[in-house]
Amino acid sequence: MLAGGLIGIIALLVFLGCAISFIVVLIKLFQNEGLLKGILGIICGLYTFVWGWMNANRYGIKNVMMIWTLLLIISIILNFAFGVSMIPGYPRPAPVVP
Amino acid sequence: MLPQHVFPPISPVLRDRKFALALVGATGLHVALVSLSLPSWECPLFRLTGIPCPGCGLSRATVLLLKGDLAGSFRFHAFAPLFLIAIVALILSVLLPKSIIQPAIARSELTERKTGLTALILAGLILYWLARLIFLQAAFVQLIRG
Repeated sequence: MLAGGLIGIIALLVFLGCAISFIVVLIKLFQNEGLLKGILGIICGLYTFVWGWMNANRYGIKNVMMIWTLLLIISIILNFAFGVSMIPGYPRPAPVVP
Repeated sequence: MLPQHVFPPISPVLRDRKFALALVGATGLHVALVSLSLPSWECPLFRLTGIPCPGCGLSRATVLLLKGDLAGSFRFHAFAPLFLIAIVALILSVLLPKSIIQPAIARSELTERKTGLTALILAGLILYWLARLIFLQAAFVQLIRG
């Protein structure tokens, strides 16, 4: 139970880091590429991610991208190992009744 | 027609082969993981707010479309065919020789500028998202949450 709670907290922190990184890169995207590409970046987070890496040196966001990538990998590993049920706010799986 | 200061969003992506290749790779990996029901990219906005973003459900809709399940695909996201066309355009921009693809991209840019097509599609996507949020919010959130 305690371990589950700890994993949940770690998952939450990882997610917050990812969200902050996403917002930082999204702001750069809006500032440098205009409104339409910015909206595209909101709709398709992967676009923002790839754009961030492609322009990391030009806009000085390499550190943000490295942190985002690291957190993303951790998030996927946590998701793979424990499932989404550990994430606060997500519904827990219903108990199986025979 | 798009004003001169507004960049057409699609053509520059198609023109930049390295960027297109990276985007095709990331999208391909993501769609493959989704089709195998494995954890992959998650929408930061949905996770942050609990409200699906305009693009939420597109990956699953595209996977269903590729499997031939049109009804299922439409239930997840009506814009999946357009998304698929965009992916195919990206793949072609990477694979085809420059002599063929550059004139096609130039025509696409001209069309984007003249008609504002991409802006219209994005506006349609936002309206579609708003309609789902206003009229079908609970079902929409439940569908995206899975």
